[in-house]
Amino acid sequence: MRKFIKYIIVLASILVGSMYLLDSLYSWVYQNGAYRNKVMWIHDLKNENLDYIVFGSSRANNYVIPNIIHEKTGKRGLNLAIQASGPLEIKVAIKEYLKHNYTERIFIQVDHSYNTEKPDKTGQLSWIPYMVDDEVYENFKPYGKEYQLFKYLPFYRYLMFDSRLGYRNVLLSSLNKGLDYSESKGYTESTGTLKKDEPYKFSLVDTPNSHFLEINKICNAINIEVIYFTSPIYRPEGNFEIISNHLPKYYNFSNVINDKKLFSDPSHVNKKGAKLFTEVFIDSFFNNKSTKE
Amino acid sequence: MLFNSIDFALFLPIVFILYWFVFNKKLKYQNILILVASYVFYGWWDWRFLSLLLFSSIVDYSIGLQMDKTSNLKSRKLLLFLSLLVNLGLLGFFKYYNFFIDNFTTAFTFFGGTIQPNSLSIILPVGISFYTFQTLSYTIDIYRQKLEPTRDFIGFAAFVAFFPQLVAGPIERATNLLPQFFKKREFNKDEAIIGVKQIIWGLFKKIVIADNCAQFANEIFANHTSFSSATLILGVIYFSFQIYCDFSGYSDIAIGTARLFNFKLMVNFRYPYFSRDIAEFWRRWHISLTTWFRDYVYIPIGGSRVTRTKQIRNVFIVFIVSGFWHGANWTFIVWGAINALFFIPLLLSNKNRVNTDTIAANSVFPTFREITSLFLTYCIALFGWVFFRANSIKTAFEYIEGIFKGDFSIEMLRLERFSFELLPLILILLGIEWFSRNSEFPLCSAKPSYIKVGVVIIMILVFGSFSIAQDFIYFQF
Repeated sequence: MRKFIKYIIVLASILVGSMYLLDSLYSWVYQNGAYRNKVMWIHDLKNENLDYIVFGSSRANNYVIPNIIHEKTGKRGLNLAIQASGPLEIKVAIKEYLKHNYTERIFIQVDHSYNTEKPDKTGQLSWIPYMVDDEVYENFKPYGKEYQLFKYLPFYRYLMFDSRLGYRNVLLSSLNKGLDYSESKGYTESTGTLKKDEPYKFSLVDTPNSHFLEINKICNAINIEVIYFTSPIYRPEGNFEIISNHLPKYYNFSNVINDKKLFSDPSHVNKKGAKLFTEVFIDSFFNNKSTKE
Repeated sequence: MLFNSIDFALFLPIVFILYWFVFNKKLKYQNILILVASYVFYGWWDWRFLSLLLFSSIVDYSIGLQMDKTSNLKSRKLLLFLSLLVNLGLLGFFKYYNFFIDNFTTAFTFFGGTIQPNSLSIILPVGISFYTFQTLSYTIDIYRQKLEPTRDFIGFAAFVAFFPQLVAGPIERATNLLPQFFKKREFNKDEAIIGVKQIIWGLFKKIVIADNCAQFANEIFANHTSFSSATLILGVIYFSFQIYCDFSGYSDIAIGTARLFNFKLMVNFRYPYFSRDIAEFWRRWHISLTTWFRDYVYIPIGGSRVTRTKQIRNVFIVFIVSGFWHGANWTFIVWGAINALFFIPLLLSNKNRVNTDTIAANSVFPTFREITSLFLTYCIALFGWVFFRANSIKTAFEYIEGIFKGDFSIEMLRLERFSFELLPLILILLGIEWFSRNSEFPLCSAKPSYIKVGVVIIMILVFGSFSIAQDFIYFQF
């Protein structure tokens, strides 16, 4: 029995040691490899001093084209919106950017996820490798004990999200098969054409969102202007107007594009739609015209 | 409780420690512990069905004792009939009631009648097909006077509910497993080390191969009408490895777990994809079920010692019943019939027992002829798997039609997630199995071999599918 117990202890040590080593390896790749997602890019941005940054979900990522803004206004900025990000993930992204960089204005896209306080199941994924970082972890900590395991149990977070953060991503990243954001300045095109012709219904509750309040506080302290906006939706039916009760600088563009051909699905525009919306965005925020809330 | 769950990872060491350190003084205590642990293991899923397990145990235990009391053949036959009626009655109700009602309704409607179907919302108790056959082997063997009935109810109930193989086999014969409950069991270091390795190997097959293949196979079968021929072929190849590694992986974990308690369960899979004909395939695939049907159905109805016509009938009966055992769906019946169709030519030409040894037993690589035989046998198995996996006969035919469309673009492989790891992983598995084909499983040795086991552990961590864990397929049977 003693020999068997010794055998089990050795195997358990191999297991724990492997988890520790693999965790270090994967984390190293996520720190140093080619970008497999935008969080890796944000994490690498250093000493940027830009005119504006756009944050939000894919509904900002697929809508605002920084290259067009630069071409037409000379303003330098980035689209740091990340697919499926909710208010919490947006806040974490802003904090991460502001650790080593500065900007004069921050644009935040808000929409039907306005009331969400909890992490988004998909949106949090890109942040999972950075959960060992205290500053990132503190944001997620109140939302479940699993985040403790992500932080303290080596490799657990990569096991639990193996299909998105596992060896495929790590291998591709280390083989330099990453995404290049430098050309597009963070904008990603949404392809396809909307087929269904149905209204997009939602209903928001008239309460403040703690994450947006915290963002306002952080940005006010360092003199950054924060502007919230809702990007276009095909046939929206809801109450976005209540957002302005809680966010001082809020612009509702949900109705500004009505042509079905400019959408890839009800809540995302295609490239043509993005070009049109970027024009609206420039007119509203960069041409010194007065804008209506 | 699933073998690949945190619950089991805690449960097993607790039972192990109690078994060897607390209850090791008396055999009876160990059997009580096994019984309690097995009921906890089963009740973790749904405690209500423990009553069925207990009921089956009481019925067969009592019938066994009654059979022993009488030498009157008529009475013994009546008792056997009662055991069959109770066990198969329960199985029939829980597993096949809705199937028969639905088909009866369809047939009645087809002939112009009107009938209100009375389908019930029945939950299939996990493992009922497995433990029913196990207890039946007990009463049948007593009837045949191959086995003495036991008077120790605890030991018998522990045999019926033995947690490593309770829910998905191997389906043990009472003649093999039951006597082990009444022999003094002492800790055997070598067996325990082999057991641990077998558990790790089983987890590798389940988590790395089966669960990864499942994601691919599920997607292809669910959207078969929109995929090319090449993708459909890949889909069924992935399913073939999913079902093999899922089920044989489970068996490995079960046998390995039993070894930790010094129980020896029967081998359930012997590298079935290294078979040179379909008869050999069936000697290597789900051996505990195949031999059960051979011993308790095929031979009693005459086996091959009857006229040619009756031989063919017997083969069809066994394969169709075996197919139906898997589930209440026509697809399983057709799957059984297809295997019978491929088996019968071998039987008629007396070639069904040609390949009884291991392929290329004395050489490293197979001959060209052996490779051809392997390939053809695998293709036959694949053809059958289409019916086994499809939700309906119609879907299976659509799938096969799609394979012969002749479009060989591999669209699924373009998806980044799946593009480069699955096929090499399967090839690695086949390579490992090929070089281990003379042993029970690839890591089967009492030497600790830390490096080999360590590599397997790392492969499980790196390549395993943890986020999309799949249930064991055979739980549904």
